[in-house]
Amino acid sequence: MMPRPVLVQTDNPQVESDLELARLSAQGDVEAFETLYRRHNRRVYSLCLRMMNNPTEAEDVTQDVFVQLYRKIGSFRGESAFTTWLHRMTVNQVLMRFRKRGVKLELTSDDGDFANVVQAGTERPSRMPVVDRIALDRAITQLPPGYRTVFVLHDVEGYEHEEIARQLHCTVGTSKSQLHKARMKLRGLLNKKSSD
Amino acid sequence: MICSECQDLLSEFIDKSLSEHRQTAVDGHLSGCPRCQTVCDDLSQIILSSSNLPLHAPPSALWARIEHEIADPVSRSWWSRLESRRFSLTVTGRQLAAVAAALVICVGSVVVLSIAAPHSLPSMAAQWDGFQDSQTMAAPVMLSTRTALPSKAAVEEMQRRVEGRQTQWSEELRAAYQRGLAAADARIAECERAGAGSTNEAVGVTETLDAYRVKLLFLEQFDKLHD
Repeated sequence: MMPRPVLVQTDNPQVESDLELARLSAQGDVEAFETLYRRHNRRVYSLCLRMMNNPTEAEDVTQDVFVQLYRKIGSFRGESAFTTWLHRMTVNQVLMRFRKRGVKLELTSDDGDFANVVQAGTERPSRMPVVDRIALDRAITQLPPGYRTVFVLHDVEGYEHEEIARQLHCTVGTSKSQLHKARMKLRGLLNKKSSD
Repeated sequence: MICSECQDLLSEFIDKSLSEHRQTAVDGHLSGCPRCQTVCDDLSQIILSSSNLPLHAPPSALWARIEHEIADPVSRSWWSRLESRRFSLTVTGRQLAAVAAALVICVGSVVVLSIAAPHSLPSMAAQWDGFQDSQTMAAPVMLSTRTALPSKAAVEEMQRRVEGRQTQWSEELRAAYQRGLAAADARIAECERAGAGSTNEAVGVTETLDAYRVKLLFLEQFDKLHD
């Protein structure tokens, strides 16, 4: 006999899984959908905010994401984690908004970043203080859009370079280069902040 | 390997995406270079922290907006949706093309009209020029904020007024009117259908408003026949 697939796994059996809530939402259960919203709205909004750097736009895109989610939730079959599915939807919405606004993500050029490279012969740099997550969050807002997008997608959301390149219509090499510049820029920003 | 070469490769070194040969070369450099090792440690720390950033909460009113939006998206009129929603009116090339197509249909009707009753339409060309000037193709433009929003009631009132005078028209003029009106109504219906099926409400609303505006302009031309 085929083993019964385990579709629903939660630490607390009283708590409905995302998949279960998605099924109920697909049948028009707005209450179930609200539970999904309450569960995920902070992650979606934070992702939008980090990528867009504008609370009003982040709010609008979050709204679009959840409206789209409600309309498409019937197509969620549970093959991937619900959060992965939702985050992809969010990233797509943000990138669509960028394209409409004509934001050039892959063409950011800021050679000044490499002033952060520590050359041989200079004094040993002081080690960066332990990264304060709030300071890092603030520093991300100071990155140029291209760096910020790649950094958020790769280091915050865990996307691979191949997928980023596909989404941003750039090469894998560009994605890697943008990511490295973003990290070096963040290092500079965090060091500057600690020395202020 | 010099420091700048090493630091250029640090991200890929940390992500373990370098070739074995280069990974070993960077590793070797780091073991003898405290400067680069410090940079490497800093980047590693940033990467580690970035996977666990604090979350931000959206405004509490957002759920109410979403709930309102998903409650009954089809039956809600475009006018109430326009009132209840904040949206960007930036217009893309595709939307401009759609508006341009609607304009072509209506201008075509006006040309037919001019042939049918040339002496009755002295200022029509100038008005159409003015309308088209206000919708230049310089993208992005804000179509719906460039001219006043037409009221649906005003469009319907204008249509009633114009149609009340149809008995004074020639057969040819009536046929031209019906063709133009059918094209304008079809465009409005198409925009409303597209808007109902789209997740980007701003696009649908903008196109629908422009379709209504085109219809209003069309009706105004017939209204002026009796001035």
